[in-house]
Amino acid sequence: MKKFIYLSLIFLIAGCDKIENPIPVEEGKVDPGLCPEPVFTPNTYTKRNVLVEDFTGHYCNNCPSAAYSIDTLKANIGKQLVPVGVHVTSQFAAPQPSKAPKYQTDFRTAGGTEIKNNLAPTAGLPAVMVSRKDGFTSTPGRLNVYLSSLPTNVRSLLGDSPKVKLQTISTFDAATNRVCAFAEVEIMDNLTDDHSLVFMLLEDSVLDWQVYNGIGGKPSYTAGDIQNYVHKHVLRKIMNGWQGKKVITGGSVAIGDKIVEGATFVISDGSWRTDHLEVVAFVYNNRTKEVMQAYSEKL
Amino acid sequence: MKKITLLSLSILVGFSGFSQEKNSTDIGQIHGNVQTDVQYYNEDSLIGAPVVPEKMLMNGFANINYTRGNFAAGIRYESYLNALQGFPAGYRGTGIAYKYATYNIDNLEVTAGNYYEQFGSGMIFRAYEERQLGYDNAMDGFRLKYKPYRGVYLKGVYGKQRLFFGKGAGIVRGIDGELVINELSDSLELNMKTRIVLGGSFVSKYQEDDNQAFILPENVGAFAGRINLYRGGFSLATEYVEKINDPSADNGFIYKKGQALLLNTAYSQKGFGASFTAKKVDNMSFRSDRNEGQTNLFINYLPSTSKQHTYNLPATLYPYAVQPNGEIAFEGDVSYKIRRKRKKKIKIEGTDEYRKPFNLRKYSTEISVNWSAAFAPDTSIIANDSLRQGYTTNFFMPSRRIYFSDFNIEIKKKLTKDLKFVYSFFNMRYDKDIIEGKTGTGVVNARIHVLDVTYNIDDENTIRIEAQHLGVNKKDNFFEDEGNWVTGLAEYTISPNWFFAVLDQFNYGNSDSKKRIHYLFGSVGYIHNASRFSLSYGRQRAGIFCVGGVCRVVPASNGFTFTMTSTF
Repeated sequence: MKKFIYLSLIFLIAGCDKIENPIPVEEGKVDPGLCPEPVFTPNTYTKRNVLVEDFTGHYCNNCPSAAYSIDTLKANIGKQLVPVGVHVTSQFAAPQPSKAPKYQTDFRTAGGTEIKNNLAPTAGLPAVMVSRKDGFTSTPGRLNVYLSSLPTNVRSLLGDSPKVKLQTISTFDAATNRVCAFAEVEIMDNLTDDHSLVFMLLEDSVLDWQVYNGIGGKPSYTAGDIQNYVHKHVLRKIMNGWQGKKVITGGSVAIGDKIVEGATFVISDGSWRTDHLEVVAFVYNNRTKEVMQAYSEKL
Repeated sequence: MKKITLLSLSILVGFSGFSQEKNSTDIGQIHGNVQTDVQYYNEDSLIGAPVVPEKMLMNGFANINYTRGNFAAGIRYESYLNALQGFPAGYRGTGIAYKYATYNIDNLEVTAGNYYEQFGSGMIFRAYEERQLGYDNAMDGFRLKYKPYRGVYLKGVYGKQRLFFGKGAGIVRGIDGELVINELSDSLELNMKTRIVLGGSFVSKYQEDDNQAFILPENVGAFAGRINLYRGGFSLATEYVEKINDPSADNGFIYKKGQALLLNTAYSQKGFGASFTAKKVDNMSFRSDRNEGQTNLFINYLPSTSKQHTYNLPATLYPYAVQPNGEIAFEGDVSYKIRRKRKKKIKIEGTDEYRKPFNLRKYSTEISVNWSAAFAPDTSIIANDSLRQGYTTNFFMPSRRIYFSDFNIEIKKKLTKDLKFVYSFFNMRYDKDIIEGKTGTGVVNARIHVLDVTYNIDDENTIRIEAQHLGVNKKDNFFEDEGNWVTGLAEYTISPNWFFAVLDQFNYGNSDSKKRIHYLFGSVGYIHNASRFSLSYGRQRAGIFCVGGVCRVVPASNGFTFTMTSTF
């Protein structure tokens, strides 16, 4: 009988999830008192921007070559290319205690890890996604492109007309360390799928250690441990969750409709250089995952 | 049930190896039953019969069970080609829907596969089948029953529930313990006049959180306690169940706890019986898939506290369906048998002869009075409900809104050796919006009279006639619904093989004169040993069919129906 009572108690404890607060806290939700919504002027920008997400890590010796390819493309293409450095995996991006004082910074983010695990789970580093578009490789569903085809893949999208237009107005308040980011999404096509908006907070040109094998990277770098490697466009925080917030319900919007959505984040890490911050916003198709438009804004 | 050779049952040969029986000549037994219902549908737009593309539909099943000693195994093969009108559309196709193997050893019973089970009154857990409703929430997994000590009964269940030919998304697990005080010792068994049974249960379900809008509990538990007392003709049974937060499509994804209390007391002695039931249900829809509806995947069963009628009009026009989201219900029932009384023969004056006096009490008379009512609970909506508790409830306080009430009286009287009648009166109040989930209808008040006369022509031939009338109250803001009905039934039985019946239902009081329709329906049946065949033809009106407070809507139909049942 005692055993039965014990078993019942185990059942009681294991079999119940008491939820105290059923509403999930919406990550990055703006408080109008702290982040007043700005007024957008008409968006005259008509090109499609391309989001390039580079999965990288400071202990990945091949990764500087991919970073240099993206950097070169950015220099040539300009505003239409929106690069993001996503540091991922414990193997390549975790701090290396045995190498102290080298490689002690952890650039990994929860959101970045979710992106890798969900969109390029089997890809080795470096791996690059071009607007998360499927079809650039011979493997259906593989979103990370062949690195040798990266420039071609990027350029293939530059002439497209955007299905949505996007512009952002973001601010940083040095007194409170608060970033307020707002985006205006303008519908340019008949959209039958749901679409979501993501806000990323980046820190550009972070100087820190990087291991390098001497192949394909910026010519000024030499093989070995590079102390002041320039980590560009480092993803620091996905402000409204890696899946973002659904802003378009398929079939329920019309061409010309405008949607304004915001996200906020308070920086608590004193090591971030707030004069190097960028906000990247992008809209993606929830079904295909393809990024339809992206926009980068320096703060 | 008969023994058959093992050679013809090669599928079950393997099972015999599990048996504890040592007798090699005992090859076990196979028994089972089969039923087939085939219905041919004519188009009949007048009565609103839906068009059936297949023209003909069929439901069928066959139970085949094998037993040998303390081992049993079996299957149920089912076919829905396609399911008869009114059955849940999920039943489609054929297959083995139920399979099990079970054995008993040393006070332990183990079942693998499908099984039905109930804890207490069923308010926390009941897996059962009601074939006429298309209801089947059989478990598929394991069940253990163990009696570790005299008077102590333990049960454990673990599995998924049947959903048509598949299984529900959630996992259900539960334990139940029952203590029969009187059985604990020989002394108690002999000397204790009051039988006391104590019980407790815990049931939990697991389902993945599949909702982005809310943080959903993946493990939802419910617990129950019960006490049953019996002494002489008196009995008292009560059970309380509580369920933790279980947001679901049924309750609008609120996180309020669920509660149910059932109290049932009865007294009976020769010629007299009385019972009273009180029940409170609050937010007690408990399914293994929070997104399901209809009668799919209920873990628990909420007992009905209204009388289940058998006569056509009271049974199918306004029957009550238990409201799992909340109700407070009561039922009282009294039955009394007026004993027969013999009168002495009266001497005819001036002669030596005697005559039989008129004696209305030559045969007994039975009178039953029943009342039941279900009320909406007294609740208050919570404003600014950020915790999604929904509302608060006064525990056993009904509100003024009556979902349903039914006062009925039945008098059974045998007039002669061969003639008897039953008269019944029903006064029902039926909130159509709530019970049928409609909007803009209203509350129906129906008064029904039924006269049922049976005459035994001889030992083999019997005729039975029913006359029924339903009148709706058109005053006091009651909803007229389809208006008045009259029903006539004539049934002729030639024992033991044949029966014939003709039924006509006439909606003579419908406010729409085009709908004043006769629903004429005839049937003939033949019974031979353990097999029964029946063929029917005619119109059947739309209605609601309920068993034990669980209901399904039956659409109107016109056509032939063939039914065959057989047991072996």
